[in-house]
Amino acid sequence: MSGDHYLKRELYALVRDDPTIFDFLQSGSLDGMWYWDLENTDDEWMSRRFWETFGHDPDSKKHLSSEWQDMIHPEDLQVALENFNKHLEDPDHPYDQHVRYKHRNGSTVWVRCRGIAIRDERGKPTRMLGAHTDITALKVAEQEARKLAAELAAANEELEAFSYSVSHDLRAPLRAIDGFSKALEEDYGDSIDDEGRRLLGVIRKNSEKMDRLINDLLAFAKLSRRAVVPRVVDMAKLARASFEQAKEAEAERHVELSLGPLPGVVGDPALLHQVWVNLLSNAVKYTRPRSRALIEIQGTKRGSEATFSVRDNGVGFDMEYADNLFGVFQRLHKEREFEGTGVGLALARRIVERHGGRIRATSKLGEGSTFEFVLPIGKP
Amino acid sequence: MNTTDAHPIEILMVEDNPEDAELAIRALRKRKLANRLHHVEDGAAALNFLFGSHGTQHTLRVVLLDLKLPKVGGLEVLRRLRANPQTKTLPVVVLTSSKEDRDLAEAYTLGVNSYIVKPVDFNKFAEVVGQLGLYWVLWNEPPKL
Repeated sequence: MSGDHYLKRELYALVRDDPTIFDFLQSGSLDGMWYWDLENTDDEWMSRRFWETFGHDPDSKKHLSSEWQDMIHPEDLQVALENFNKHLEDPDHPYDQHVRYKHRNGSTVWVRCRGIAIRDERGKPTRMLGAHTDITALKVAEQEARKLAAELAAANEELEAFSYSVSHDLRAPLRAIDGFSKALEEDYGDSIDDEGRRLLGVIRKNSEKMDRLINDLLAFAKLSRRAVVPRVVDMAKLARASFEQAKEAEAERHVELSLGPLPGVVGDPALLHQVWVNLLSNAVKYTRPRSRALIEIQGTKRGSEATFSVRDNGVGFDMEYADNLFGVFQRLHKEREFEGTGVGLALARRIVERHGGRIRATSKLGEGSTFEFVLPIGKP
Repeated sequence: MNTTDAHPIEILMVEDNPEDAELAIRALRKRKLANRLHHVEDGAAALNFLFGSHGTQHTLRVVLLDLKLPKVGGLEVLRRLRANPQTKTLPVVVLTSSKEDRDLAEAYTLGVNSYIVKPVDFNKFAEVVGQLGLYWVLWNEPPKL
């Protein structure tokens, strides 16, 4: 003990020499103490705290091991006895387990029960010193967490079954609407005039639109549930590839891209790709009326976070409705002006948030929009 | 049901949705394949047709199989087909409304030949069904058992 702090050495000497010091330690700590005579196993001294934990008046209890043996849960007693025997044989086998006791009011008290055997000069165990830590609150919280996790899993399963029937059952009638409109057109085309054909066209266009809505909704549900698989991601490369993909839909247009250097992050490449594609598709779409469409991608690093922004000179939106922007099926533009299902930004937000990041948008009507998302850089 | 004696039955369609069936038959008719088709509406009827007293499986070239079927599901039909030496190599094309990853994985594990999601767009649907019929009935060379 010579290497120890002088105060520790002093305290140990005090404990040895002054009984009031030990009294203070055992009554001042939160643990119940027990000290068992292994040569005469009927005798066991237990601290006041030991009994108070179980709701008993310490003065009503005798210092006998029989006092607690019918209070402990029989299954747990078996575990404790097993560890006890192993510990007596081998000091390296810890006597340490979580056991249930019956409180005086009938409730269950969980304690972590630890102990060490004290051995004579020949190594024979003669005494056992132990401590009871009340871990009931912890156990109750654990059980609660397990229950919630099970409920969550059940809810997820339900959601999965729901999206399954959405994808299956909602599509079949759509196919019939589209198919039989087409059949009508094919078989009775001669007796339908132009207006009739236009009406059939409207029916078919809308069944296609509903198909897109269902697909987007399913993609949203699926991607939201998918586990994030993190890797080192080259964001500049990902952004450029996403831009090419976003532009494909309007290949005949000229859209100018300015892509600055971007910091890399650790994230799920497939999911982050989706974020870029969704933001850039919007930028491409909403710059459609511009003779000179400009999209600017920038990125900066600040502390442990990276910020990325996509700015366009498109039609923009009214900031008054900015709160609606990231909701599922929320749209700020008329279908006639700009097609869309209103899922893209909701999905982008979901993905960014699942990476522990955040996303926001600023805009001025008629002048363009800026979408900015922040991600933790993360460790590979 | 939709069977005629003029041609041997070469396509078995297992489809419970009457509209989907009608549209598929329409597409096959355009390719002059509808008279080689037998249509059943649930998995049990499919198994009965395949393993019953007909013995027609010898002339079958392809089974078009929906997954969500009454009585016996499509994956179960596929499993039984693959378990039977007589139908082990019979081409099976799953034609379904939904692309659910677990169905897709299970169908391929069970040895499906193609897995096709029915398009909502009728032109595409007709194209897919028609091509399937042509491919499996006219072009594909089945293994000699």
